Amino acid sequence: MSLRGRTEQVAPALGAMQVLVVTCGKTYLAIPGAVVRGVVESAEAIEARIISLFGESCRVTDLAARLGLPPSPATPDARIILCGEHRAKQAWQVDRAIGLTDVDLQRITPLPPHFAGVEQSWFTGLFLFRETVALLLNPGWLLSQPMDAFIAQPQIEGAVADAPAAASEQPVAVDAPITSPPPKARKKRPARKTTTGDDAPLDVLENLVLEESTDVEDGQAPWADA
Amino acid sequence: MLRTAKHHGQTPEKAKPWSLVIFSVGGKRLAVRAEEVGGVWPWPEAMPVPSLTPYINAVVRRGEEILPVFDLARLLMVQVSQRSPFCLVARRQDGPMAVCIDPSVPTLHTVDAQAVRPAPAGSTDVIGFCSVGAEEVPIYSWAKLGQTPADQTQQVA
Repeated sequence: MSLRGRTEQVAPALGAMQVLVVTCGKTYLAIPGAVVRGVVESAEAIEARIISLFGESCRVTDLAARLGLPPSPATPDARIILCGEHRAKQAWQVDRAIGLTDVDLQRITPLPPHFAGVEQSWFTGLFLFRETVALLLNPGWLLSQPMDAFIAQPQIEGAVADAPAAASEQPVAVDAPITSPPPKARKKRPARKTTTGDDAPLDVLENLVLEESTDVEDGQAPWADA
Repeated sequence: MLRTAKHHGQTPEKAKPWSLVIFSVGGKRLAVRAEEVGGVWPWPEAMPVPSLTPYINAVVRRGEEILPVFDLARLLMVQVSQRSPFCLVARRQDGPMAVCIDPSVPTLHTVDAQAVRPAPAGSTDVIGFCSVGAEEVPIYSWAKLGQTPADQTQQVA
């Protein structure tokens, strides 16, 4: 199980917003970096659909399903995006995490007025991203989804009972709900630029200080696609 | 002072003919007024957008421009050919929209205004019908597309 979290902030350039770009099917979605607390790639956690965040168990919700997008087949690229702000927290499953990027605020345009439904509250705008478009998710909507709605989702109850609580003094640590080797000592990695599996380079999660992971080799960008 | 021909009891000017763009969606021929068409390009790949707005559930990108997609095929309950469809840009008051149409080049027709038969009352999308050859083709209005009769009543109110 990967142990990842953010313990320091790197401010994006002035007039820019840092976002984590993910995909659900063919749809590119951007999550404001300010609410991203970590990225988990554990197949066990994804299968269990439950994860411990801030010492409390948190059910994993399929973002595509919540948005009414068609389901995608499960792939090893699936990730859980941990989001939190103040007391609100959510864990969202996505098909793939592309990486962090800074978006010039002037490049973000509102959703066209033709979209006249509740979707206007799901997205705060959209912007050109690579050869396509990314939809900027409203962090308020992301964090305000009622937990009751998650109960209907399939889960492995035992995973909750086995989950060790995360240390409260580690505000962004993500721990393993399923038995995993004890984490090694934290090793701060220097901020770097790397290339994801796609053509364009991205500043991939530069502001995340990664904890040593049991399933990621040194030098590998664990949150990015190979 | 300017006076209209009517005030002088003269013959009113003949109504202008309609310029119509005729195209097909899933094999169905339909028309829109030429001034409501912003162009036709090859269909770019659309990105689905989660949406509860009827028939509007994707965007396409053309250069720096992002257009919402109106799913006219779904409204007509047909399927557009997946092989090299075209993108018709629909001009609307709230901004342009992209409409996926069959891969046959739209044609421009001019019809006499008096030859346009009005749509029956209660018709939400179609504003009239015209004859092209032996075929009667419905004339759509983008402004009314996807609206329910209730929407239209609200707008009037």
